[in-house]
Amino acid sequence: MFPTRAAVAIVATALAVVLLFSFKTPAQSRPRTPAADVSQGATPSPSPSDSGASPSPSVGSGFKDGTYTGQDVFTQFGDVQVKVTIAGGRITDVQPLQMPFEKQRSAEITQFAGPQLHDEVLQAQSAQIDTLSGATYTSEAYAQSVQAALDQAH
Amino acid sequence: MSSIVARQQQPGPPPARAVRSAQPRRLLFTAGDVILVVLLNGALVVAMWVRHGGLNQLGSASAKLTAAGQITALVGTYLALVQVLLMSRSPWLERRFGMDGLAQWHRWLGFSVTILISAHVVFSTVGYALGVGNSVAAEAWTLMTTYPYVLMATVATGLLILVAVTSTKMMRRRLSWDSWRFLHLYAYLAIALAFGHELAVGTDFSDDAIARWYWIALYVAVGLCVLAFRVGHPLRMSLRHRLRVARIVPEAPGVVSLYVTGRHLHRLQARAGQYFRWRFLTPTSWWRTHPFSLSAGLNGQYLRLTVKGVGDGSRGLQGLHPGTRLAVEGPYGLFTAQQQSRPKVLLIAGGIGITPLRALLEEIPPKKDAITLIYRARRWEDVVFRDELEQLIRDRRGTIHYLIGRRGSAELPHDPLSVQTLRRLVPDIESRDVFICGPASMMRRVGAILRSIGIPEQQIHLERFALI
Repeated sequence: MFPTRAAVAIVATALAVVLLFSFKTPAQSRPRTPAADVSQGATPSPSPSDSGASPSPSVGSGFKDGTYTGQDVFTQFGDVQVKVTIAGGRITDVQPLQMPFEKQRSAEITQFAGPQLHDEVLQAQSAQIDTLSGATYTSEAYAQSVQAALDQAH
Repeated sequence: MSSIVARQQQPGPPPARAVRSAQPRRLLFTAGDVILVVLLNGALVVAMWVRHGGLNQLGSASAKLTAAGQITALVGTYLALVQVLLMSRSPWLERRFGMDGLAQWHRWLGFSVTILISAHVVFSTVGYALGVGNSVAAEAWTLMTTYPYVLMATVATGLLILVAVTSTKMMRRRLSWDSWRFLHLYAYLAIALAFGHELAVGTDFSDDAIARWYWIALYVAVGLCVLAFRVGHPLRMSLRHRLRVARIVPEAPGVVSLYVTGRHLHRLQARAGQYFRWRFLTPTSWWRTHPFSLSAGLNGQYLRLTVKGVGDGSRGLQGLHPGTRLAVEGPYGLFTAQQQSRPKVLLIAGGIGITPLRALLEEIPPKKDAITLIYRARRWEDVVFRDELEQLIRDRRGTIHYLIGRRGSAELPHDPLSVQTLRRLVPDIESRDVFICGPASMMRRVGAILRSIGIPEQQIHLERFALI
């Protein structure tokens, strides 16, 4: 007869494969949503408006108060677009409108790089930020979009 | 069973008139062409990686590792597909490389694939971990639980390693052929399980539609080859010929000849010296095939195979009875008179290895002193086809030498297959084609002797029994 062990192994394998295919990653099981909506992982908590007390335009930096939407920068991993908030002539916040979330790999990099890029811009008060290792394309696109927003604030 | 066979009280050499064998055909493409196609596709896969920026990742360690993870995955998976193709039993490939040549490549490539895929797992996990500042363990967990189909690919890697480990020499000694073979089939499952993550996560495919379709086309091509040659071909052959065991004739202790009859046998094409893979449709052995040479040329009436009860497989054959159905695929093997490059031949048989040589004798043109047969066996009782062989050799005015005895016994203190013996028995050995079939160790020794006396490789022809 066909060896019993082989028959058992075949049934066990078939069960294991069925179980394996019933496994869904979180991204696979939730419906697709626009990238901007899923980007909450990268969205930093609004920073306290440190210079929000003075509503008049600051002399030093020359940025006009308001929110400015940067250019949509295309990268091979997905689009990057940010909204820059100026208060009291200083950059007080950078909100990602679009970050690469399409692929799991991009999402992971975005979650890691998003908050760091936000902090770097606030610290530099310009688009002159260091490229993050492992997120070269995203860093460069982020800086480019920030620069585009700042150009409007002059 | 069949009246044709029942009438033949003394199964002797079949009549030569009905023999219809495959004519030597010009091959549409050569072995070199096949190698070229495999290399070109390999180059294309590497070029794809370069085009997608594989070489530009010179910045951080993370980027370098990730790029290394990609190229090991691409090449490893491509070679895994080549592996499946090599073992698809395609007559096209078999006719050009021989089954034993293909099997040697398969073994060597198999371990390479496992190493490349393991490297891919390590490079990609560490590269991704460095990229996002995760620990390797945490990143491995993230990969398996949040990246699409990566969990399945992880299982696939495990299966691949299982197949490789069970194929090492050490494990092969401990496992039965059936167990090894069964575990080996998990390589197909591994290739299937890994496919999803290649397209879903592989950056070379997710952003490049042409690359994606090319990759899918490779899978489809290999899959079609497997279906055609492993399923379609045996099914067609078996349904057309409807083979049955007609008679079982004992030849020597533990050795029987099976006379197989069926429909349209005159349409069966094979050359003497080739083998078929036989599947005996009995409750105890329907799941495996046995590679057995024909032990007589084709005659349009019956096929004869002669089998010794060795290994896991053949032993079960003793339970066969007349009427047992057979499925068949083939013919395979390059061990034919077509390979003859010189006018004279020397045939060396070891034990049951006589079977393809016995068939081959019929196809070698009869010319005086053109055929010498050396038949090595442990005991006289083990010598099969003695009457047939002597008749065939007499008709062809050739010579037959028996070397009988257990090596190291009183009568045979030295290996009878030595340089001295061969030179004494066959003084013009250098000017002959040598066909050898027997146990692997004997073929290795004799092959080494022949090479040591300067016989060129194209004059040495082996049928490796132990390997298939």
